[in-house]
Amino acid sequence: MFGVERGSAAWRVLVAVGAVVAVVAVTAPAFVLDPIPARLFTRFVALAVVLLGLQFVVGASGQLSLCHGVFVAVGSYTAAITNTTWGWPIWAGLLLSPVTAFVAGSLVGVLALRIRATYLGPVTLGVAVAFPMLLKRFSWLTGGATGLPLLREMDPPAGLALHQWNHVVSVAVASVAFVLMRNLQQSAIGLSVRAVAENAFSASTSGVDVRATRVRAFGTGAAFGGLGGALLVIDTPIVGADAYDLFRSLGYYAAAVVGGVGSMVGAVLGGLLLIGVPWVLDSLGSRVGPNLVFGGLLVLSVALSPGGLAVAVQRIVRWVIPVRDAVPGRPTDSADPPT
Amino acid sequence: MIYSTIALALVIVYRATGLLNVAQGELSTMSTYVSLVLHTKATPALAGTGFAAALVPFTPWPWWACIVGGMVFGALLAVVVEFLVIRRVAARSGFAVISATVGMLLLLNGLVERIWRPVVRGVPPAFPNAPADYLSVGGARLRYLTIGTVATIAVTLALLWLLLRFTKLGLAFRAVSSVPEVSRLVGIRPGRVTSVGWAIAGAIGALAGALVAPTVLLEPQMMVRVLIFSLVAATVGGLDSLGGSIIGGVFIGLAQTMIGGYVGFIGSSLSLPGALALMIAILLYRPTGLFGTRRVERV
Repeated sequence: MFGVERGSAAWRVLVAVGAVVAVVAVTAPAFVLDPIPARLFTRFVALAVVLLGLQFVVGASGQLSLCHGVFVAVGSYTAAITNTTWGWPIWAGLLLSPVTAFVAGSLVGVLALRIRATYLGPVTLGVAVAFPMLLKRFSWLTGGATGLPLLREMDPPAGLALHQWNHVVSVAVASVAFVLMRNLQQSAIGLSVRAVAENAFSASTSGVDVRATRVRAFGTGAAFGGLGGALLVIDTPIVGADAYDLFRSLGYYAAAVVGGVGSMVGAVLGGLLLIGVPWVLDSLGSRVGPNLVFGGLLVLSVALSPGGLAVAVQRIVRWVIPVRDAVPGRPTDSADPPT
Repeated sequence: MIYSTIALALVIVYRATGLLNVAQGELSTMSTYVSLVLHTKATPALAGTGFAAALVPFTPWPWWACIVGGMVFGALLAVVVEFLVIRRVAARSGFAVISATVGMLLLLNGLVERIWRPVVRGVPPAFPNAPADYLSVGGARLRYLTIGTVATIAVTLALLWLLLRFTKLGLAFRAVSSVPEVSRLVGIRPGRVTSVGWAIAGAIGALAGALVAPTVLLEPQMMVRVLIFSLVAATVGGLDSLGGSIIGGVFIGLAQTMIGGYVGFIGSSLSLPGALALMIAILLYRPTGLFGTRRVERV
């Protein structure tokens, strides 16, 4: 029978080739295109990392989060404050941003423990609306509505323009993030996260600490959001309180669901949408705002295709290269459609 | 009090269908625009006025009639949204429904922005609001606008209570919200009752939008803050309790002003985060709100 067995040598080669092709395809635009369109790809890379976190919270751990923009903001502000106010180099901010976002995410995650199901929607929605107000209130730290510029940009090595170096760094960081997320989802931790989402009671009988797992999952998703936020600031070196309003969080949510929650492919597709939809609307000269399109897509996606675009893409890939599962009982690949 | 009204709309939908309609605020915003379109004479600045003028020979209607028009529109819109979108995904999962309402929020917001532009517009007050329009009660000035708003909400609430308590429709409504399966057996059509619930919520939302618009000014983003406060109110009161939502709304309104006024650190700029913290505190203590039905859930 034609097809590739999951986990076989041929499968590994295919995955490796696919990964290399993807990285090259994403890196190339910075060296081929003009700076302005090329920077769209830098934003795309950062947004894919942002959505990588959101799909983990919503998809794998099954917790509703309408305030992902808050964690992105925490990451962005971490990068900006450490860089501009404290004079740290950018890479230090990049390393710190997932940590601060993890703390913020865990705080919300603790709330989410006690406040479940229907009530979690309003709470996360409220957090998303309230956060920009906090940013403005504590303007001595955050720069308020005027914002905080990133003063010390990176030194590109000889022969590279700044935007090209930014892009290379972003792609490298994102690649690490994707590998980390893949390993995380296939690890025992990832398995317990999904077990809790499926059935918390039976997970607890198997010795999974339900509460800790939920909080950690929320924090982990937020950490990826924060990392993506820091990447966004590298590309656009200013942060402002008004940029992180409710509709940003809702836009992330819509993109993640339309792309496909619970799937890393979905995060990539969602990132493409977040960049692509405004770009298409702009180049068509349309007066329609992206909100309208994202709302429509979200409704359509929920009604027609619960797995999002990722399922469709996966089907096409599997049609070209059939993949068989090797041994029953092994944890399946993270990119399987969410249940 | 406005928070009470929107909270009431949220609670009605929750009671009828067990879902939290995040798009309620945008439904209200759109209905308020429709009220304004009905009211304003044809001006090129406000889209839709030409159409409305052609449709209605006697424009401008008096403002109260426009509000009623907006309420009818709000009811229709809510029913259409429920029928076309929510009903299709309701059977799937809680996530699907929440996602669908979030989608409707974005969609309606984008639509309002597309049709009427992100411009702030003035809306006439529903009751006389000249500087001299107040009653003096023990030195405090009660403005007609405030009195009228409170009275309108009280009347709405009373009507709603009568409807739910003493009519066949109310009985069917309560039956469907507690046991949909059994109510189908005794000949109630749950779908139709759900539509009615959404229609009532849409109309009440439109009323609230028209009442709040003169103070917060009408713009596409108008309802975001109001929606959050109302969600807080509904949650504090308990999502399945009508009376609770009213009390919750008053409570949040008071808390917002008092905390903002007396705790200098918080001030008016942090009133919303303050109210939110309050809601979270209450939810941590009583996970189903102050007046909500207790559920038993083990984790």
